[in-house]
Amino acid sequence: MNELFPFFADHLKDIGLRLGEHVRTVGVALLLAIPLGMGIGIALSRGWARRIRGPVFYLLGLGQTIPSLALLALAVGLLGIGVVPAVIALLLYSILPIARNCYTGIQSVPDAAVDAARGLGMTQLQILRSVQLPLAGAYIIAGIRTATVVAISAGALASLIGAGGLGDFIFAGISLYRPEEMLAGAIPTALLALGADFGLSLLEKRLERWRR
Amino acid sequence: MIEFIDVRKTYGGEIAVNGVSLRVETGELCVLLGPSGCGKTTLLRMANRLVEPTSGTIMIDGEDIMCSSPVELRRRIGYAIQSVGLFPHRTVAQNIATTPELMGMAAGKIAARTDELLSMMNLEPARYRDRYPSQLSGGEAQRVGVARALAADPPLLLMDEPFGAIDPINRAEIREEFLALQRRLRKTIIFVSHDIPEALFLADRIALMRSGNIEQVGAPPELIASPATEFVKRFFGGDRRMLLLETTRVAEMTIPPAGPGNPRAAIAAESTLREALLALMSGDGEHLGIHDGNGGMLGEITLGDIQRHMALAMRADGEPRR
Repeated sequence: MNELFPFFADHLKDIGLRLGEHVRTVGVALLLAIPLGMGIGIALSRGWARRIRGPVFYLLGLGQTIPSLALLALAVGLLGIGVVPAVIALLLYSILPIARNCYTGIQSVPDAAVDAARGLGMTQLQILRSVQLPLAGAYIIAGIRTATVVAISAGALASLIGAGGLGDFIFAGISLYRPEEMLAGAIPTALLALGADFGLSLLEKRLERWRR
Repeated sequence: MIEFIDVRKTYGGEIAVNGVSLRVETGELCVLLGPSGCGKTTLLRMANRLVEPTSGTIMIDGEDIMCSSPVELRRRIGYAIQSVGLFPHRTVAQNIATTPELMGMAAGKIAARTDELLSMMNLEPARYRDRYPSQLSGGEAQRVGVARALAADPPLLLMDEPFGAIDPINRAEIREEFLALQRRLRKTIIFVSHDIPEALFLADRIALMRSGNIEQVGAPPELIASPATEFVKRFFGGDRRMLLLETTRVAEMTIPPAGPGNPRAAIAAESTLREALLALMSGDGEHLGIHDGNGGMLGEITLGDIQRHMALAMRADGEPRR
């Protein structure tokens, strides 16, 4: 354990590199998952989607119940190894919390506010943009927060299918029984997840400032 | 002026509004009164196409409302509802600015208009404009709701129990303020209510509804004194003579010219018969002078004049005409 700091010091550049890869894989997956998840959440909140709402959430939930490792293995089977299958697997993993929270957030907007918005002459798009989404904002950020934390942790597994990232240290450390190397991957992963969680929690609070 | 011509609304097999025709004149406040489920809210919501009629025509100032898009139509019509529906994430000023912003009014003009409306609703602009709805009392929120409906200065207002969600004391107060405001602004208003005193107090005319039909339309004293149906008679219940005294204005009576000598007391022609009666009973003279509110004398009345007016008004003694 006392070799942790020397290892850190010697591999600072490597750690930075892997951290960069990790953030890239998770970041790209989230950048795709956020619009996609919100799109699904918004679509499902429309009246015409009443019938398909159940089945769609069921399918998304199914994706979530598959263990992340198995999902990655599936992605390899279909798309080979590398960053692309890793991004797609993480993407599938993060859509559900975003879509579900976006939908719940929109449902939580008081009917009276939507009725008033219509009665005052807003178009459907204006109601969505200036009433429903702002009022659902905290829910949506909470969903993104969950998705981000999940994706950062699952992102460590992406190393197994050749997408690099901090998982490289973790798995090398485990197989070579070098705890300091394992921790060099695990600690930054944990800090990244905690940092993202904290940052997004601040944003969530800020969006709630009218709820006093 | 807004006119409903044989307007029907059915949901599946359920009839919500059953071929209603009603004309509300410019500057008139018409209350749609009736028990819940009578179709009054549906009728109101058809006027700005929140509900599309199954059949029939609705004309605003001679133009079929189907000729404009719903969004365009609604921006020209004020809308206030019982649950208020203020946007919780927007300040009071931003809430009031909703329709002017949608219509593209300049920011400076909107700010001035917002302050003007807040003052009009007896809310001090500096204290209230930056508050969030969660920081308002029920009565304040409803005032802001009315201000928001008035923001773009629409000639026509639709109000669905806008004072429904507040306690009785504040309700009476806001009602009086609102009537004073309406006397000044002279908007055309359709006002849904299920509260009899509120309807009698505010209405120029009442359209009393039951199960999708209008039972009777008329000024409050008319509905009380000569109910068209048994339902109308029963609806007002209680002592209809008392209600008549409370809703008839002295100006509606035949006022005999003043005799020689000045009466000891006088009241305005705008007062109700109830107030006149109380003045006659508490004064020591037999005659009560009636003035026009600007110092001009119109004549004087006695207890007998009120009795005669009441007897005439109630001559059918409340027997429905059909």
